[in-house]
Amino acid sequence: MTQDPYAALGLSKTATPDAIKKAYRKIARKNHPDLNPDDPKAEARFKNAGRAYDLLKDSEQRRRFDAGEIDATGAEQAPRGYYRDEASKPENPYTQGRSSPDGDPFSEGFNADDFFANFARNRNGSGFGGREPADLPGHDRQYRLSVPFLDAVLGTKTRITLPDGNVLEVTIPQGSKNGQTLRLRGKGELGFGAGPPGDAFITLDVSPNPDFERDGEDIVVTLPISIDEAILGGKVPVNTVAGQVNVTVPPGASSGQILRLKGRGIKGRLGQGDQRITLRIVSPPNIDDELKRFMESWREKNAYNPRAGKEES
Amino acid sequence: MTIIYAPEEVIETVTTLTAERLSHFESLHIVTPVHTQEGPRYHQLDIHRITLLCELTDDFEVNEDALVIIMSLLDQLHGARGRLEQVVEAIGAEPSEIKLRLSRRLHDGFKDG
Repeated sequence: MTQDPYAALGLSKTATPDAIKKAYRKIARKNHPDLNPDDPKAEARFKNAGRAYDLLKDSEQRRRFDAGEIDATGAEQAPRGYYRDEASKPENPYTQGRSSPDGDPFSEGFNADDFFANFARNRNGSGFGGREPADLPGHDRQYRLSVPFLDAVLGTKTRITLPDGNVLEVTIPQGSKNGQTLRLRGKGELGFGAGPPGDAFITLDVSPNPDFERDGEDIVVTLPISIDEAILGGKVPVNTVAGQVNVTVPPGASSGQILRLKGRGIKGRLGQGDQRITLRIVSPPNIDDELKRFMESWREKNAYNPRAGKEES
Repeated sequence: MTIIYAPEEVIETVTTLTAERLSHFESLHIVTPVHTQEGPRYHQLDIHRITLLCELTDDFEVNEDALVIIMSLLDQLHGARGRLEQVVEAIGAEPSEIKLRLSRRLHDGFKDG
């Protein structure tokens, strides 16, 4: 396959020797096979850029190529090749012990378990059988995006303005988690030759909310209540992620007691969560004489010990 | 509550960092700030990473290409370690007979390999 060495480096024919060197090194440092052991596309980019650089770094070769005296392949040395290019072929003598004598893995004694194990071992071999296609997808790009807590819970649409002025439209799905990564296909760097652009990967950085905490798909809040609400019970307003609702505090409620609002949590992949409300009894700001006298007379007849069994004697 | 830092705060915290240097690291895609309504923001983790980048550049005179390669390897190493920890944790939560069987298998694999 003939390919344009300038496209392999993402350059035009007018590129300076310095730009060629820079472009090659930029691709090589990102796509070297030893840095990307599981990515045959990175390896293909690396090889294409290497071949292109070999051709273009020499000014005389470059001149002859530009003048049409040689083509991109004609001037090339034989590609170096790796053992693994052919290592997974059935006729490889070194692997015969692993399959059947005639090289057919499906013949007598075929064992499905062994076959899949061997298959997995060979999976990372060159995915393109020798020659790399000229039109390879561009590099992926990584971004991090800050998302307010409630936007992550409820889902929203937002945008990222990139340094180059381009704008990425991002849909934050309902129930998104901190650290979750979204993939925007085709929003990465430009492809090589006629290859498609790479993808954008957006890692969400969910900012905490002073009122709500997340525990799995549940929302956890603390609800302050007055003494009288604790003793007598009643309906008390509480914030949920979808707005305010009234929750029924049972008579005789204690601090630390947990109420559950079914289905008021996060709608995530695991289903709809609940809102868990931890009660916290708050004393009145001023203890007036009336309250004081009442408590004193009440204590005389009705004293109780909430620490029974927990006190040191 | 996670503390987040504005670029000026990062530049002040990391003594050998300048605005030019920070934007250079970002153009190499080895530092990725968090996009916010108020502009780019950084976590403590980013400050440690930027400190390392400055040390590699100044103390060890690592050039731009090698810097990108080092960070790629380092991130892969930490990613692999994180996943290994998860695997070990998952195995740790299994009953002891399974743990025993796995440790025997690993031991045999070590002898054979």
